[in-house]
Amino acid sequence: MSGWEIFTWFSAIALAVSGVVIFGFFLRDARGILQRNVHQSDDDSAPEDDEPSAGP
Amino acid sequence: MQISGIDLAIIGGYILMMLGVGFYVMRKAPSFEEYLVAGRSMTTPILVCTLASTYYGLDVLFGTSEIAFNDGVVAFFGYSQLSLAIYLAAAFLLSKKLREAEFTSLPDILDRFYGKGTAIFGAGASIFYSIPALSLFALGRITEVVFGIDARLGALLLGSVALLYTLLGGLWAVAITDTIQFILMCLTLAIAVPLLMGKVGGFEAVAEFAPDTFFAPFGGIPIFLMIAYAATGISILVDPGFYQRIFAATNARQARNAMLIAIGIWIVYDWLVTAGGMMAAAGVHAGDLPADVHPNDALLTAVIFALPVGLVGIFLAGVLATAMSTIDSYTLVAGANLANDVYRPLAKPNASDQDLVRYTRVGIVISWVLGYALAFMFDRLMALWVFTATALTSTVLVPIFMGLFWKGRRTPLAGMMSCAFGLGSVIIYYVGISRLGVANELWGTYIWTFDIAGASISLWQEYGLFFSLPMSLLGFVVGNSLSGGDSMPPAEVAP
Repeated sequence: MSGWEIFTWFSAIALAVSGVVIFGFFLRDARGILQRNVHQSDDDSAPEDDEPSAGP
Repeated sequence: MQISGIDLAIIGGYILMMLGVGFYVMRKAPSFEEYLVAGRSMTTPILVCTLASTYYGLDVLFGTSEIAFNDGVVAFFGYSQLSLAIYLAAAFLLSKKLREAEFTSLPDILDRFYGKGTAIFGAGASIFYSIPALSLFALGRITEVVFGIDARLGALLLGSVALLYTLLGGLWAVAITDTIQFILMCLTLAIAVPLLMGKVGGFEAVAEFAPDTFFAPFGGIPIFLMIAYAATGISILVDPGFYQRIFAATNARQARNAMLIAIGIWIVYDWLVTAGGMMAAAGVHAGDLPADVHPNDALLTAVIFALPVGLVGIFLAGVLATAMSTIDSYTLVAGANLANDVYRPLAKPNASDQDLVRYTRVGIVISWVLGYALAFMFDRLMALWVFTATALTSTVLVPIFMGLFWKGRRTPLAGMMSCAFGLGSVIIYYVGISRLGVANELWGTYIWTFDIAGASISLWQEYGLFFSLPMSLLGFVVGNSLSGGDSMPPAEVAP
C-alpha cells in the first residue's frame, strides 16, 4: 500500500469519524435548541415579564 | 445516468426533511436578531457544520476533482492548502474582535467605524458577492447530468426548496439544514472514495498511465498563478457569510474552535476529492468509465459507478446538499443586507423588529431571483464569481482591517475613499486587461503580455487584488489626510 493510499484511508476514516462525532455533539445541543423553541412558544402566551430561556 | 427507485426515494426524503426543518423552526415568529444571527447562541458543533458545508460548495467538489483528474495531486497541495493558511489566520485574527463587538453584519462594522456612507458602499459589494448565481447554475447542471431534467427547471425546483426553508426559519433553519448536509457530505465521500479506489486499482493504476507531474505536489503550475489562486482565499477575511457565523456564536472561543475544527475537516475533505478525481482518471483509462466524460463530471460519474444502490441516493443527496447549503446561506446574507443595511437607513430608520424580518424575507427573494436570472445569462460564471469576490475584497478589506486593527485616526472620508479606490481600481484593472489582453480558452481568463526592458511580463485578470488592495490603502490614507477634525469616535472592539 502506497503512502498516497494510506493518506486516503486516513482521510476517509478521519472524515467519517469527525462527521459522526460532531453530529453527536450537535444532537446533544439540539435538545437545548428544541427546548428553547418550546419555551419561546410558551412565552408567546405568557406575561411580558417572563424570564427568557437560556440558549443551547 | 440511470438512478434506481430506492435512490430517488432517498433524495425525495432528503428534500422533504429540509422543508420540514424550515417549517419546524418557523413555528415562532422570530426577532430580527434571532432570524439573522440565531440569537447569538450557536455552539461549536453547529458552527462547525454550517461553516464546513457553506464554504465547500460544488466548486470544490467538482472544481478540485477536475484539477486532480487533469493534473493530479497539485489540486490538493497547490490550490487548496494555500487558501487554508488564510482561513487559519482568519480563525485567530478575527473571531475575537468580530464576536465581542456584537456586530450584526459586514456593513454594520463599516457603519460603526466610518458611518452610513461607507456602510452602504460595503452593503452593495456584499449583496453583489452574495447573489447565488454560481450555486444555482451548478444545482441546475447537476439535475441535468444526473436526472436528465432541464437545468433551468432543476435549479428552479431545488433552488426553491433552499429558498423556502431559508425564508421560513432564517439562520437557525440554515444552520440545522447545513448540519444534516454536512453529515451527508462527510459520510458519502468517506465511503465512496475508498470504494472507488478499490474498484479502479488505486494509485498504482494511476501511476501506470499518468506522467510524473501527476504526483508532484506543485506540478508544473506557474508560481504567480498559484499565489493568485491562493489569494482568492483572502475573500474569507471579508466573507459576509463567515462573519455572520462568528456573530452567531455563543462566544469568541466557540467561533475560533469551530473554525479550527472546520479547517481540519476541509483538509481531509480536499484530499478525498483530489483522490476521487485521480481515481476517476484511472477509471477512464481502464475503460470502466466513458472515455468522453467531462473532467468536471468525472468524480460524480466515478462515484455513481463505485457505490451500490442506496448509497448512490445518499451521495446524490449530499451533492445537492452541497449546493443548497451555499444558496441558503448567501441569500440570507444578501436579503439582510438589502433590508437592514440599505433599505432601513435610506428609507425607514424607525423600522420595527418584525418589519426588519419581513423586509429581510423580501430581500432573500430578490437576491434569489437575481441569482437565478444571472445563472443562465453568463457563459463564464466562474469568472463572474472570481470578479465579485475580488470586488468585495478590494472594496472592504482595507477599511474593515483598519477599523479593527488600526489604533490611529480613521475618518468617514477615509472609509469612503478606501472603498471607492479599491472598487474603482479593480474595475479599471479588469476592463483594462480584457481590452489589452487576449482571451485564453485553456485557463478561462484574459492575459495581457508585454515586454519591459527585454523581459516578457504577463498580467492575468486574476492578479487584480495585487493592484486594488494597495489602491484601497492609498484611498484610506488620502481620505484621512483630506479630512478635517471629523474623526469617528472609536468603536468598542476587543484588544
